[in-house]
Amino acid sequence: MNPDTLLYRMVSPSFMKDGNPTSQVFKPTRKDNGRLSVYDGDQISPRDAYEHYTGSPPGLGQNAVGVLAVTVAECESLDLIVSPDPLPEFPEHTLIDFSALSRGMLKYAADELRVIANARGWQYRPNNP
Amino acid sequence: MAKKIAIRGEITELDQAAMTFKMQPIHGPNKVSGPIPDRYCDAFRKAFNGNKDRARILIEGVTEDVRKHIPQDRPLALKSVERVSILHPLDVPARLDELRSMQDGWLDGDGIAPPHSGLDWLSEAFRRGYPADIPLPYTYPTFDGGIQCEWSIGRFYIEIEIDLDARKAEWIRFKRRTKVFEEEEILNLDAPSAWAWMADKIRETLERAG
Repeated sequence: MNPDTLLYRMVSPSFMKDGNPTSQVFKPTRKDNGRLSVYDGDQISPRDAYEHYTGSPPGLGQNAVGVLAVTVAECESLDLIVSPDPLPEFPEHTLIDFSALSRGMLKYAADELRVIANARGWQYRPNNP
Repeated sequence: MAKKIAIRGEITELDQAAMTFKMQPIHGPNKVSGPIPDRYCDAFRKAFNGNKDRARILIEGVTEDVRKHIPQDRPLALKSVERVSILHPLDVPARLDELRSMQDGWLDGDGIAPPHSGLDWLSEAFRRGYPADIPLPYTYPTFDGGIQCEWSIGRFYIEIEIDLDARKAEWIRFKRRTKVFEEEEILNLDAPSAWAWMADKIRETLERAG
């Protein structure tokens, strides 16, 4: 992983409004413990990441409408720590750690990442999500 | 016994000869039918034609049907229509009605659905407290069963995260790309002063954003 590595974030259909991703896409929820799961783009393509996320086992069987991306450098510019967190059958698993931020700064960072990722555009969208 | 009701939804049928309508509410199994008062003829026509863009309408009226459960194939009949408003696409009470169909587990098996009692409260609080002259927010559910409203005004971002049980909101405002957020406040949304404070801040943001 290097500063230009793309980190792929799956976009839940619940986090879309009028066709646009909301800031919730990059905001860790209580179950995330301040750390957001993404795929290391040096190890997997956005399409394969999507297939893994939505596919049946060994895939994760979750719902997503597409894949957005931010880089390691973009995260670090917001004082977020990016670290590999390989799991069995999920070696590309990576965490963006928001836990050192205050609640206000966490929301700031989540919104910034959303703006950056939206400007970069969809990395992958299936024809019929 | 008659009761007053207010329902948001889309007009699905318009009979201009008989001057009657049918509406599909945003939430709820039964359609609503009723007479069209002369003074609201244009509003009904506009809502019906606008349905290509999912224009929504608020109808306030009176019904004599006070059954708890109406068979699903039967409409709830309004005896009279007292007031009609075409709704803004971001209308908050209408959006809250959309969220009433959510179930627990809505986010990949996790995520709490907002409670209907909380949605009722917020819908009424918003109607009473939020002035018509300032922009409406985008409104979303949160993972914990709350509601998030967000405004993008120029480079400014404003968000309130509402705890429906506590009736409190966490307010933040910041200017994008500055890495500094300007405010973080806890608001008691049962207090009219909190809504007035919020409206003042949004107006101030509009001025600053130019």
